[in-house]
Amino acid sequence: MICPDCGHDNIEGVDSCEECGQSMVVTDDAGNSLAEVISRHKVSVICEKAPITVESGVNVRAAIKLMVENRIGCLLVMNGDDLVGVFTERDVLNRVSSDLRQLDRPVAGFMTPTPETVTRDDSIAYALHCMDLGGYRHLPMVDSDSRPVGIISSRDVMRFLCVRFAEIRSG
Amino acid sequence: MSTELPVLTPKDFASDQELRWCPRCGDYSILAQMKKVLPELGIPKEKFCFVSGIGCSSRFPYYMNTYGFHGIHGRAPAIATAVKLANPDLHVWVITGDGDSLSIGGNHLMHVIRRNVDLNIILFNNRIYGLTKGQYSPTSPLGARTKSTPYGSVDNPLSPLSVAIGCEATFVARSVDVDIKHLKMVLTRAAHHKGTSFVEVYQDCNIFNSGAFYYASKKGEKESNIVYLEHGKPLVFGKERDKGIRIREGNLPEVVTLGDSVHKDDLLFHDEKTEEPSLAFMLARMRHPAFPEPMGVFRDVERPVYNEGVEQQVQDAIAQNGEGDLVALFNSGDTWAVT
Repeated sequence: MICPDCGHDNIEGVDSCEECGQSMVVTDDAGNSLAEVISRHKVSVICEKAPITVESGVNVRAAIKLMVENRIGCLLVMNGDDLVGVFTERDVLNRVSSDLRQLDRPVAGFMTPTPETVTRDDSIAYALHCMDLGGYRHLPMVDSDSRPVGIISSRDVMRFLCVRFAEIRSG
Repeated sequence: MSTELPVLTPKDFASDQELRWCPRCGDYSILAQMKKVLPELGIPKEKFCFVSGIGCSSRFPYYMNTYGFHGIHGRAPAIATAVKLANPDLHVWVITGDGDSLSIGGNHLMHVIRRNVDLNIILFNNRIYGLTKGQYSPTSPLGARTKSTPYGSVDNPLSPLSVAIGCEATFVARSVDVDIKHLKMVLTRAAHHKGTSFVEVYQDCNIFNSGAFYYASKKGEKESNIVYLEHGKPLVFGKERDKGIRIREGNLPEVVTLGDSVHKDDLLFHDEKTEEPSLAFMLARMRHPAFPEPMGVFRDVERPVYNEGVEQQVQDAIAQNGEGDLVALFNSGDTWAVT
């Protein structure tokens, strides 16, 4: 049992960490504050979807079709194994819609390059901070080699908060 | 009647105050290690005093069952100097952060180190202002996007250890919050040092700067990104322990791979006792990703201690002039009445 506070590897079943004394009891019970919940839980808890990716050379028309088919608002743009950008519905509105002749051009020209990312171990609070800081609705989740393994949206966070809030209110 | 000191445990140093750091904050681990180090020093807990400034880390004195002083922003070194001068038998610890010590309190930090006051400074470096919700700090890297640098920081960051070594610190060390055994060892070494000991701890702020030190703390990554310093031993690192640091032309470090043409004897051997601070300074300037970042004791030398020098002057003055008389002093020299 890894202590979420100090990282010490405890024997399974301990109530408190042998190193730092912090409670090892799962703290997502009703009654805990939202602040505590979003600080303690990692983004991997809410990142259930596998990312939908598209190669950077694919044209905008195909990329939009992919978004519509999957009912999503964000595609991860790849160069092989490397994440090079995100293409979102905001990009469609702001960069493509003014000239529809651009639909046949590569998506790389309209994406947001070098996107902010989070890792599995980052807290939901940190993801919210990143979204607030950059004005993002989506954050790719990457592994230790910077390869995308998921994507979280502001809707995922909102849903998580609503469930937790309801639990807290119901006691 | 027994005169033996009671055996203390980490719990004896825990106060009854509710911990108010964010869950999973690196500060918990540093607090835990401190509570483990102090009982092993064999010193009564009323002989410790923790002094802090302002910031998340500066809540530390509340959580220690010792004397403590939550001071004003950046001024912990000045307060701690006074505490030590007035109470030479106290073991004084300064707890500070990268903003508190290097921005607001940069001036005070410089002077406490150059004076070599006998106290211990622990700098929690998370490269961000956490308490005020995520503005950049003096150690935030170039390009860091924060609440106060929305287009990326254009400030060249300070290296805390370079600052300390530049002030001729007599003890300089670095560790990581979650590397608990190493951190405990470093804190113990700092406690035993006579003079100012300066310890930088890489501390993850999982809310506003998450993962800033993953390269130095995550298993599978840190082996390639940090090198442990051991006095008298070569600088070897890497998952396979097959890489090292060698000094090349121009007295500059380079990363080499051990093999047929490079042997351990060719590597840089660490010497924490050398008076000349150049080696420690060079090590402090080795930064990821160009180099593995050194962890451990960079420098541990002896020099006269400020508080002992002051105390000696006081005793000499008493021996020469006798015990002072404060009332007589107030009424000596030019005095006048205000009407």
